[in-house]
Amino acid sequence: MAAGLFFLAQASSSLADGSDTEVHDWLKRMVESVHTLNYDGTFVYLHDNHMETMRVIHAVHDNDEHERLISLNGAARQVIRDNASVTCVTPDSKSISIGKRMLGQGFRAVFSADTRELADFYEFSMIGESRVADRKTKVFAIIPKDNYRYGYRIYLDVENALPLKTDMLDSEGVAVSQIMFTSLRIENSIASESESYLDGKENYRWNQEKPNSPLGESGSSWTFRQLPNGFKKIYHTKKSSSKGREDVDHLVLSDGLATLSVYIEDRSLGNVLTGASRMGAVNAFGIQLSGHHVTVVGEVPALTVESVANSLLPAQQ
Amino acid sequence: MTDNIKQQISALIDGELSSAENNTLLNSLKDNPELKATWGRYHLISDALRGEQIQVEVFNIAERVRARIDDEPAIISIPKSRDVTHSSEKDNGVHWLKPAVGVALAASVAGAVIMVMPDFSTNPGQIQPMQVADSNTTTVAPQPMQLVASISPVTRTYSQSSGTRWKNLAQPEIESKLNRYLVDHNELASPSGMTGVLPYASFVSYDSNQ
Repeated sequence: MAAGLFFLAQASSSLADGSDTEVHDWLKRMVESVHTLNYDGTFVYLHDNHMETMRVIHAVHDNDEHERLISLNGAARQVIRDNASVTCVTPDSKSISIGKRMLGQGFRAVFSADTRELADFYEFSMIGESRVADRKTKVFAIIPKDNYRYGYRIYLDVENALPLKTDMLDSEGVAVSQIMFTSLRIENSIASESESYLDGKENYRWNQEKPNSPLGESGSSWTFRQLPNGFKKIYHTKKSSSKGREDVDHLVLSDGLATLSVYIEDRSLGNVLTGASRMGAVNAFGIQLSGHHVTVVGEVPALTVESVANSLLPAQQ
Repeated sequence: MTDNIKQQISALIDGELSSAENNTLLNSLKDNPELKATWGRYHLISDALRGEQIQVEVFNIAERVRARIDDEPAIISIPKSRDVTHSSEKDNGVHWLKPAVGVALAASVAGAVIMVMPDFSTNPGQIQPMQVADSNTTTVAPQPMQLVASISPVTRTYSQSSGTRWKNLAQPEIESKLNRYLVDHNELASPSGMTGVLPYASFVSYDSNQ
């Protein structure tokens, strides 16, 4: 394990005041809080040397989640989510795109990780206390046991377990992306701000995507020679070709925390990514395979997207 | 309101329900103002998307949006100007640079500001900030401008803004595709509350080509 993470591990053994169970309980509470509380906050998002400021408004009415994410600098882009749809508003390109929720899938996760099951790939520990957005936090470390995934340092609000700061760390222990709240209001209820709409909508170009349906195992014979330890295929869908777009198989792989997507285009139209690229914590890798073009993308190290791309085996026709 | 009913409403609008399901749903719509409102909203969106009766509906949407915004506390609004920082070019009278700026914006790359610091010994008291744009991000070679050539300027280059860019890529088409893939990925891969706390955070750094 690289020096930085080793240091975290050291720190964890000296500072930890919580049992292993307590750590997992906190993380479980965190996931619940993110989905069930009403909050309105401003946060900064730092990746590479880019910094963005955003506002997030999250409201729950009768178990119905609404979330609105607004960028406060640059173009006033927004994402509005509820249990039925995801709406992306991009004023700079004058377009609104609406993605319908997967049939049968709500706002909630495709799966919910019990962090106890991840002990083979990550080490969990409480490493101290700190203060973020003028609130007391407990700091937790999630340290990967190999180089195929990132680590995390998470600052949870002592009162309600909301993650006030989340650092994603590479194998050197250096942050590849950071999200930190600078202010946060937690309310019993939040007005309909979370689903409000824009003026001048009629000037926008509208796009809508058909909802996806998960394919069963029979849906694809794409397989992997060897995946990095712990990664499994959790999802497979096929985007039927809409205007001007090719058919794309979409496989999602996860180890329970880290996720990556494999996109397989039936044929390559136009330019395609060949080799590696990166944006902040997101790595991508593209290759040609038996007449198809494969793009692997996700918030995992470069090593991981490359090995996954190279271990893909073509479908048996 | 449950997710299920919302999804059913959505399905109803798309004609994906059986007639029995249709009837059941319509009955519950009739008696529930909240559901009715949802139905109305989805229907407007649906019409707009299909391009049906858009002229008629547009009026309604605009009215509703206005009504809604009046009810709201301050929320960010879309700037009228596409890029506020570029508006200063008019003030500087550097109109001949405009086409270049346009090209740079279209390619969603950074404009750059060159601050021209005059040599005070020969031409005191005059500072001429100017804007130029380069189609290639950060560095702009300080070009001797006709306007200031006589005062032997010291030039410095600052990047005015820069979208987040994929490394090793200079092709907008591929970037757009990767961005689309990333949006899809985020939607499916936001489960655990780790990276998934704000799965759309990276949305703001997407280019405008998508």
